[in-house]
This record gives sequence, structure tokens and C-alpha cells, in this order.
Amino acid sequence: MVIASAVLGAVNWTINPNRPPFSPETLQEGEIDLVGLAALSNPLYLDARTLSEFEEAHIPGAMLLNEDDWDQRVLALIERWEPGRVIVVYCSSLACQASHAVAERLKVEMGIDAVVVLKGGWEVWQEANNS
Amino acid sequence: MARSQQFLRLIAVWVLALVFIYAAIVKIWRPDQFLQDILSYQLLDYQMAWFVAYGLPPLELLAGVSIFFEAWRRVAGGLIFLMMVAFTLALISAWMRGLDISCGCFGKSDAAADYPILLIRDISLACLALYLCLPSSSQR
Repeated sequence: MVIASAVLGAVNWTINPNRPPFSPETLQEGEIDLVGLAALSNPLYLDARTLSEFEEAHIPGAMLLNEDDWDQRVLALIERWEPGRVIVVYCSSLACQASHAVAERLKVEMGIDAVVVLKGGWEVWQEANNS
Repeated sequence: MARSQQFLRLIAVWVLALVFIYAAIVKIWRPDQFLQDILSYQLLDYQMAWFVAYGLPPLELLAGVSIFFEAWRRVAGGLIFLMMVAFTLALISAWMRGLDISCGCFGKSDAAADYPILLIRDISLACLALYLCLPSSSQR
């Protein structure tokens, strides 16, 4: 059964279009790394972590927008964002999903296409800016 | 007595089969989202999680299908029991570390994990699987 599962997994990897990259360094659709981030002009940062994490530290100029308090905080975003300005969403690290969830909602519910997720989130930004 | 046991085993078979086949299909279709769910538990590194994202759902599918067949039932039940124990330990670990995660049990879920309910569900499924591992009255 284990061997059959491995074979099925390999077949799935071959034919399924929703395949994740094998390397964590590879960017997926809708993601941006620090190199790509440096090329952006005046992006609007959205912090998708919790309020306490945001209050502890965040990327300068970032706004808090997570799914806990979406309706109230998204109004502040609408006031501040202007069309054409790229929104960069980030959360804690590679392991968190909150930034992807927020980016997806912005695209689907708000119709904002210029949204990218910072791969590695706060962790990689902090490492890059503290070194 | 034997009849009620038979009925109970039939219920256990159908519940486990439906749960595992459904969970497997959702995860097989979206390995990218399942990988994110695994990573959110912060128990495995990326590459290990990648292998689990591709290897675990087919195993769930095969176990879910095999449990319908009398000859494979005990093996499938044992496998499901082991998987449920692993899932339960992972959940307890995430709960103890205060992680705010989506369960990932049925692929991507927007809802954050409600740990007590998930644990009750996992332990119940583990008990059903363990019950199927025991020899039935006709096998004794």
C-alpha cells in the first residue's frame, strides 16, 4: 500500500497543475522575494499577522489587515490605497498562510489585482534588514 | 449480538471510508494548499512536508478504499489508526504551542482550528479504526 501510494503521488506530481515547488526558494504565482520587492516603487505593505505581533514590530509604513478584523480594517485600506500601487502582503514566515488568504480576499472580494505575497514574510524581511 | 456487531462494523467501515476518501481527493487535487497546511504546523521542514503532501493523500485514499474489502480491512484499519494517532499528536502539539492554524484535514480550510472539536473527531475516528482491527465474531 505504501509503494502504491508513492506511485500515485508521483503520478499526481506529474499531471496535477497545482504542484508546489520542491525547493522553498522557488517563487509561486503571486509571490515576490526580496529582490523583486526592491524593484517595486512605493509598495503598500499589509501585515497579515496578529495585532500583538504587529504592535511588537512591523515593516515601516505597513498597515494591519488580517482576517480576524477584516471588515473594520479593510476600510482603512480603501482610504489609503490608490489604483496602480502594488500591495505587498506578508505574515510571519514561510510556514504561515495568512498572507495568502488576505491576498486572495483582496483579489476576489475587492477586485484588486496588484497584490503580491512576500515569500518568507516578516522573518526574511527582518533578517535582511537587521544584517 | 452478532448482528448488532455486524451493523456497527458496517457503520464504521462506511464512516472511515467516506471520510478518508473525501479527505484524500481534496488533498490530491490541491497539494500546494495541503503543503501550506502541513507547514503551518511547524513540525516538518519544507522538503519533508513536500513529500508528505504528495505521499499521504494517496495513502489515505488506498486505506479508505481497502477498508471496504474484508481481506484488507484489518490492515487498512490499522493504517488509519496509525494515521489518526499521528494527526492527533500533531494537533495536540500545535495546540500546546498556541498556533493559529487551519486544520488541513480536508484540504484548505479558511476556518481556524477548533482544537477540542478536532481532537474529539480524531480520537473518535481512531477508535472506529481500532475497532475494525479487532477480529469480528465470524473470524474468532
